[in-house]
Amino acid sequence: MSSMNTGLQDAMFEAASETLENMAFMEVVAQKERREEIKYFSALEVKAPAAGTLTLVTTPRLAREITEGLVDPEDGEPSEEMIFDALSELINTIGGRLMRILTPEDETFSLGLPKCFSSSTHEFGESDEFARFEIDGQNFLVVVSGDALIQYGAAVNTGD
Amino acid sequence: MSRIVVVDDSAIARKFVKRCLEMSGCEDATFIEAENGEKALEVLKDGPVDLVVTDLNMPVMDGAKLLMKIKTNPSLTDLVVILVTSAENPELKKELLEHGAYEVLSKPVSPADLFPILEKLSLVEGEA
Repeated sequence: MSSMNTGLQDAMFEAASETLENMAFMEVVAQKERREEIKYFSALEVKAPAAGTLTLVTTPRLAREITEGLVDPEDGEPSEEMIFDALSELINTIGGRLMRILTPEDETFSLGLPKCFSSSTHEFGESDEFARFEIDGQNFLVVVSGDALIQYGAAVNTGD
Repeated sequence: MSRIVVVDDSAIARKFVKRCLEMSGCEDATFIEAENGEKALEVLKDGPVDLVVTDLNMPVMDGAKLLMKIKTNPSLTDLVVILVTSAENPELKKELLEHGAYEVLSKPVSPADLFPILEKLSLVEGEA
């Protein structure tokens, strides 16, 4: 795991925390240490200006709570389909926010469609950038993968 | 009472936009949901509508195509259409506005984004 790219991590934190606070009305804090038991993944391809993938990782419990924060409380217990729908919408919005932070105003960016899955064995690359959060004691990660996107984020934030 | 069509392929996104509209003062509105542009056009045949809030990126018929269909239909051309997108493309935004979009908003929309628009359209009164 890289820990050098603080500018990109700041942008990841800003994009994710503002999205969660505005959409699901949840308070998000940065998490300093890694925890296990993560199961739900929502991945979004970034096509341009630099290729890479943005992935949101969370526990099933937190995913359910986030979903409940997005819908009418009268809708009752959300199904797994609703939870994946919510995670797709979240990663799409976080991706949009992150790329708006990273991309100069006169440039465009392009995103793919979100894909959700559950796994207990999914591994990320050593060079990936991680932003770890905690919401109500539950684990929440935003991961940027792909050298081109990581380098693009680093260059924008350092003005290189 | 106003009638508002919310268009998005994500049920969660539709619920979220609806909730933001309610929080902006449209709690008495009748909301009609559609999962893509084609379904929205079917809804628009069923009766008058005051506002369409649509996602841009959708399967079957996207928000841009829906906008064109509405603005080139003489009976719908005055209908107010707000597009919502997670993408950032100033040229596309300009093009959508030139084709008659009332506003193009970035996701996630918030009551703070929607209230001034709804107030200007006289769909809400006073403070949200």
